[in-house]
Amino acid sequence: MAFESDFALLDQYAEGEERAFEQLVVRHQRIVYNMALRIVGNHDDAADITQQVFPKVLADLKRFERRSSFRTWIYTIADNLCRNHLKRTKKMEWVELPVEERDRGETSPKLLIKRERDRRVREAILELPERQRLTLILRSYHHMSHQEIAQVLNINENNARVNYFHALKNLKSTLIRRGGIDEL
Amino acid sequence: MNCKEVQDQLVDYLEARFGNEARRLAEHIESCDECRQEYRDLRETIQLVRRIELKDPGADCWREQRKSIKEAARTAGKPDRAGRGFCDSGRCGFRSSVGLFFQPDIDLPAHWRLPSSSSPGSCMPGKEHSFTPRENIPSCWTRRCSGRYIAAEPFQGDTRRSKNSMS
Repeated sequence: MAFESDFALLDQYAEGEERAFEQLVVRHQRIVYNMALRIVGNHDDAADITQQVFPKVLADLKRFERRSSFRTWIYTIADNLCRNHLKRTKKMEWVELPVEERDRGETSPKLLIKRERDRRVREAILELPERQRLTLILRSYHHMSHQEIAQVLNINENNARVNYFHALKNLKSTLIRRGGIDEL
Repeated sequence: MNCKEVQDQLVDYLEARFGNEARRLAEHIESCDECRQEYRDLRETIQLVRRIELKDPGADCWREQRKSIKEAARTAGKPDRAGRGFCDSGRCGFRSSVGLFFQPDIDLPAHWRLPSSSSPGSCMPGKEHSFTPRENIPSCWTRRCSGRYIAAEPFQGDTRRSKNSMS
């Protein structure tokens, strides 16, 4: 089956082909979930936000003028939902998914050190101011350009770049303040 | 080129976005302790961040989630009336503690009320509840992988219905 662009799928959906929407969900479900998980820090809330994003996409479809890519737009919606969620919950902490049986035996010192280091970095990321955190996440894990990040956050490109720089600096300071990446 | 100019451009330098300027920046970083340290810190931080992997919640969870998204998409834009309603006046012969289930497209009679905020069927964002199989689940509740439901913001959206089913 030929690859169809997001916009082509949106057109098909507008003509009544609901399977086109299903394809969009399959295509973007994971990236939305991963972004939400890195922002809110736990699986349940990230999964809830992902479930809310797609109906919201349908609701706002008529207002989407296609000035940005579908991916950028969907990130904007996810970002808004994440922010609403964070306003309600206030407290954030990283909650790991339960360790599966097959992972349980892996207790080599190297792996334990990696897990501990990752945990500290994740928690430090959660401490960043909202915009810096999102910029860092979109840049580092979703490989978005500063221009795309600017569209998601509705700021100019230079501010997006500055946000990223400050996010890295703040992250480093937090890691130093909280002690210990170097000893790991 | 002074330190401030160099440090302002370090992110771009790290991302290799420079052409001719890169050589001048590299020369400065090589000769300046402060900028070299700043450059190393940024590079290390980027590496620490990028190394983090996420655990995949598993195929079942993705499938379950797609099912819930389909359900939510189908009811998108309907007034959030599905669920229990209560007769407040006794006119219908029910005491107010007795509720009846209403379908989303049926208007509640004027003397009936929706559940109060403390009732399980009401939509308090962030609230969790387990519905029994017989209960009608309002569209503002979303299903978690655990099988419990969580209330989201009430959804207002496109009322368009398609001739094709999503299932």
